[in-house]
Amino acid sequence: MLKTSFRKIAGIPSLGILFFWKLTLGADAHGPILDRFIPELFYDFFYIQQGRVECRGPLHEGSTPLASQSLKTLHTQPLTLCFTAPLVLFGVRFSLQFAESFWDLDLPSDQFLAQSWVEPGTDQLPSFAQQVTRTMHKRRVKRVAGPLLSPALRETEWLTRFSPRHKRRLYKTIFGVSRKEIGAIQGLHAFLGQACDFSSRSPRIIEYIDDTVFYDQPHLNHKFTRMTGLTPLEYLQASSILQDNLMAASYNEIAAQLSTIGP
Amino acid sequence: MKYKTSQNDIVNEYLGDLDEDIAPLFHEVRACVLTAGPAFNESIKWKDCLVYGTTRNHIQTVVGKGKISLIFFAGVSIEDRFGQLEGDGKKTRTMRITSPDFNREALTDYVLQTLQLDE
Repeated sequence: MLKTSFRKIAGIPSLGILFFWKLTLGADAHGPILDRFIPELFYDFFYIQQGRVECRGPLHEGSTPLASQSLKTLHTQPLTLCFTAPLVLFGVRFSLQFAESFWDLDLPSDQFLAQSWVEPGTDQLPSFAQQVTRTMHKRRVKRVAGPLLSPALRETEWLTRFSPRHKRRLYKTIFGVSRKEIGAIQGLHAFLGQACDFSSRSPRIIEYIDDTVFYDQPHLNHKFTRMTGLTPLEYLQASSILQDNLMAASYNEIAAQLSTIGP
Repeated sequence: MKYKTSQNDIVNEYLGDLDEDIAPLFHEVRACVLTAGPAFNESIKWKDCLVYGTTRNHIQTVVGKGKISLIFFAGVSIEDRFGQLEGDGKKTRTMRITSPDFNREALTDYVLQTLQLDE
């Protein structure tokens, strides 16, 4: 039976780092382990210390092995990561704010960009976190004069003074996706962020639908299936070791930040 | 309150944040599930559902007002010798627990059957 462990330590909000994490999968897995990722409004840095990770998805031809250090940009479509155990995987989860200080010119969507942020052989989470922090401090650049979005993902006052055309250009250049795509992913997680009890005689998804985001249940199902490849109920039953943990931790971090900073 | 910590930090945060009113009962239920199925991995799904799974999710725990619902995703395949499972859907069945003197024998049996179904 597969044994997993997920550890995390606090991030550095001023650098756009939500948290650092380490995932360990035991050697007792039979065959590769598939981990389904759905679109999220976070960037992830992966460092494969041991094992192998491959990437499968409509935008990734066949099965592409991940570089030992890579940055996952915003994805607008579902993605499957294929883990070969034993696996020791370190990572950093970044908020959208990270993109505003990323040092490479381009941050295209639906990509894994090969990086070199930590020394090969790093095997402890605190040391990994220290090296990433050092890299961030050393290499980050200011790409825009002001922040584009607030922590609650509203346009900042600085952004509102620009024309719609220039705003569209800024979104694409900085985040790699459009405002509309950001809104669609936000809507998906507005639904997922709620607790859903599907155990009653008739599923009560309808009670959880925010009518400012989705008109009705068919609208939710259509959008959800298009973005995740699964219906809401199928998604709940599907096991996803890494994505589930990252998502749950992100919801907690964002809620904590919003409560201290405000919208 | 003493309880077995998880290998998963998110689960530990979730357990630590439980309301005092429901936490003792929750820990009792969790201990019972993990004793019957030590092979389970625990994780949090969708912010505040604790799920027990191996290579797929098997049981989801939902905390309600004064009660804990255990949703067995393959519940329809479980032989209910104790009459504790509710629901008439195509797949899932639910065990609702409201007091510390819940039927541990039944829960253990359901968990063991769930794991057997996975083999």
